[in-house]
Amino acid sequence: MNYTQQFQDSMEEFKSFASNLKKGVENLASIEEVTLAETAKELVYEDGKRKLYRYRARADKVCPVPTLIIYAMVNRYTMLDLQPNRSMIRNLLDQGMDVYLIDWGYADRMDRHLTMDDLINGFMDDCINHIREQHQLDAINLLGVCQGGTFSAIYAALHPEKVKNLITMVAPVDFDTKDSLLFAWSKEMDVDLLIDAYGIVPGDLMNQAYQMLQPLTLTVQKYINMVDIMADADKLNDFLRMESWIFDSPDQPGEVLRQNIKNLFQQNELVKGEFEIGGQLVDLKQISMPVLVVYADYDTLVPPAACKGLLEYVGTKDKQELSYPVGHVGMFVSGKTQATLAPRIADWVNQRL
Amino acid sequence: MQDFFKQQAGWLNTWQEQQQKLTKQFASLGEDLTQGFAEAGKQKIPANFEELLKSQQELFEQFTSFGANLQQNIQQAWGDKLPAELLRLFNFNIMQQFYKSWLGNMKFPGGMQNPFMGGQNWADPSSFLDSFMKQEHPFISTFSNFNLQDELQKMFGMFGMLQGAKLPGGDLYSQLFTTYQGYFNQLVNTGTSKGFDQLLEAFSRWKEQADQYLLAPQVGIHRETAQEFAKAISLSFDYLKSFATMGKLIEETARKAGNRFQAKLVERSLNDEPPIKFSDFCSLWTKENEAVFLEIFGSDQFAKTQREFTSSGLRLKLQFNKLVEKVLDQTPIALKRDLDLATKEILQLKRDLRQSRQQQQLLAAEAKAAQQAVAAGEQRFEALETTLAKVQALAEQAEQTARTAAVTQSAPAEKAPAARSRKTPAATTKKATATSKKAPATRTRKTPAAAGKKATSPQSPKTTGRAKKPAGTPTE
Repeated sequence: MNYTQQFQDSMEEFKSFASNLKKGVENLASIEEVTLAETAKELVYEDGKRKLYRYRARADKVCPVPTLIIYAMVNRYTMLDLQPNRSMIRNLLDQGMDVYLIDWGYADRMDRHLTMDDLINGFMDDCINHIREQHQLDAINLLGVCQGGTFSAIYAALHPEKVKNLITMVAPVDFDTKDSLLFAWSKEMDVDLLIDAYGIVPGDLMNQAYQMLQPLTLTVQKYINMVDIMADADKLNDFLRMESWIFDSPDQPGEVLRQNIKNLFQQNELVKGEFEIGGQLVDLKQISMPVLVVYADYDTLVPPAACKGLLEYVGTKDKQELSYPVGHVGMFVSGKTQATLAPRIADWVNQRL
Repeated sequence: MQDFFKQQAGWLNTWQEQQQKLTKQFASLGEDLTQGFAEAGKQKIPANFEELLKSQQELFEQFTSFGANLQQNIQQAWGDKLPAELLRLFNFNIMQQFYKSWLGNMKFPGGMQNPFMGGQNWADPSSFLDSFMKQEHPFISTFSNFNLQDELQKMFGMFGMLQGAKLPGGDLYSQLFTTYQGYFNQLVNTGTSKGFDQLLEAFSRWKEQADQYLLAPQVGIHRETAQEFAKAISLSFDYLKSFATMGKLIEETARKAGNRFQAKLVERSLNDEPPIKFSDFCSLWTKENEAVFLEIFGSDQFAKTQREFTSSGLRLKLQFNKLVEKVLDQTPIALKRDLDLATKEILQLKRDLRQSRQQQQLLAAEAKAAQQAVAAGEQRFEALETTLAKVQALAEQAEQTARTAAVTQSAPAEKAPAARSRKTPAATTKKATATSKKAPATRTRKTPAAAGKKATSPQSPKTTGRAKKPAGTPTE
């Protein structure tokens, strides 16, 4: 062991640490505001706090069948449009897709009794009807992300005539897996007690559960590593954007969460054909349109098995899967997916118009 | 706030320069030490060694103080721009702990005792518990349920305000709750098995005493309230027990994780690859500790412990909600349950409204279809009228032609024999009368409904066909 070198290396590193910290403090002072989801869009329909947006076209030739993106309620859709060079929405627009998106908004006490029926057969259906009327089409494309993918599969099973193509991304459908801690913990949870005590379940509570999936990496190591990038204003901005998204967790409407955990996570009713909303049984065999299942190989939140399950239960013969060697969030922000994911989705859709 | 950051940046600049100076001195120290080894294995300690160490420790203290200030000011400067949870994780205290731990872990030649932060590194499990857990780090705070603490604060404030100072027995409640709150404050600051056991024992004793007061025969509303509070205390005891179970599990896991990290450090030192760099040290710490935590988190034991812990906390929260509502029930303030009822009603109204809109849309669509059918019928009727007018005109024309023909024929007939002249006009008149009688009968106007029916009936083309025939007649 060369102790001279050891001292020198250590102290050099610490000098660099101090230098980064100094520059980082200056950068923090210069950043006025952390902005995300800046791709141009317009509000086309709304019902209270829930809104439907249409993104402004970015290609000369636009796909004649629009695509509606349904995001999860547990986080914000801004992840899909984090920043110009990391935006799945922008990439889809560049491929000529006509993109609509549902923003669920921030639930509050007024949404205490809201159910999946209100969201899926209610607002989602209203939005889809609105788009169909505007474009004079019988059916449109649905692209559901995470919990939004589960909602999309349910909708497609209940209203197959209104869905031209179904794409689910990192979306759980078969909940009978122990590949994720979240799934294992959910099975043990007394969800009735949770909903009765909170009514509207705080988003922070959900976030703490996500952090426990990598307890020290996500709460300690990440912030140690942050010092290394603080000196670079752009990187610091990127870091803050991501952090803003992570902690922008809307509170959850109690009854929706109760159905989600009890009927889906614990009872796995969707693939058993036992799940019922609005008095209707959801039969995945009714999904007769083409289906594309996109999943992440290293997803610790929604493991691949939970996503791929959909393919086994749908009625259509035109079904495909697409995977990337990334994690749950990496699917939307990783450099590995930026260049190829949107073109592959657009190609798949264009071949089925 | 900009000034603050500039000031901090200025301070950091000075600090960085001092670090640079120290780096040179340390490098020189390293060279001297190495030289010492070369010269008969003796350690040659430079004269200014203690001074150097002192400087480093002073810098650490300055860094700690700077970190605390920075933490506070970032909270203020960014409080309205970034989520609160994120600001909580922007934890410079953790950075200090790592810095301290890294310095404490540094090995010195020839078995020289580490002069920095002796014994204060996270290779020592108890040190980890003391310094990391007690920082109230968000990860650990998951197990201490800060929301519950907030609820407690609210409840004490409310109850003290409404009853403590005004009603009989208020002093007793105040006393009980002050002690009670003390236990909970103690709970979140406890990080060892022994501490949990002591706390549980003390709480159990206190609970017995509290029950004696609360469950003693009373009259009126106080009896009921007192019983509800006794129930809350009983549920609190369950919560404390499950908290202690979870706390012990985390403590045990942290100890295992610490041991694993320590073993890894030894292994790397033996392989002559100690984590010298600060970043290496942190990464190794995270990797080795997290592996142990995740193994435990994935076990059935943890899932069950977590269920018991959260359930007992939620039962207690429900009881608090009930108590707070009970107290507020006496006031004109709207309660959560009132609000919930109202929101349920509003939601149902919205559902009904949506259903009505859908029905309205269906009816509107049907009405539109009917209107279109009527319009089409009217159009068809008008076409029929036009056709019939043409037919009538043609009939009149035919009649006129017949008359003209009769007149033309009657002139030579006057000269012809009588038998022939008698026959022809009669036959002509009969034909003309028959044609003129038919036309007005066809023109009789029908109701629009009948017209609509007719427009869509398969007979329509026949009517058109008939109309065409006479139209062609004049050209024949």
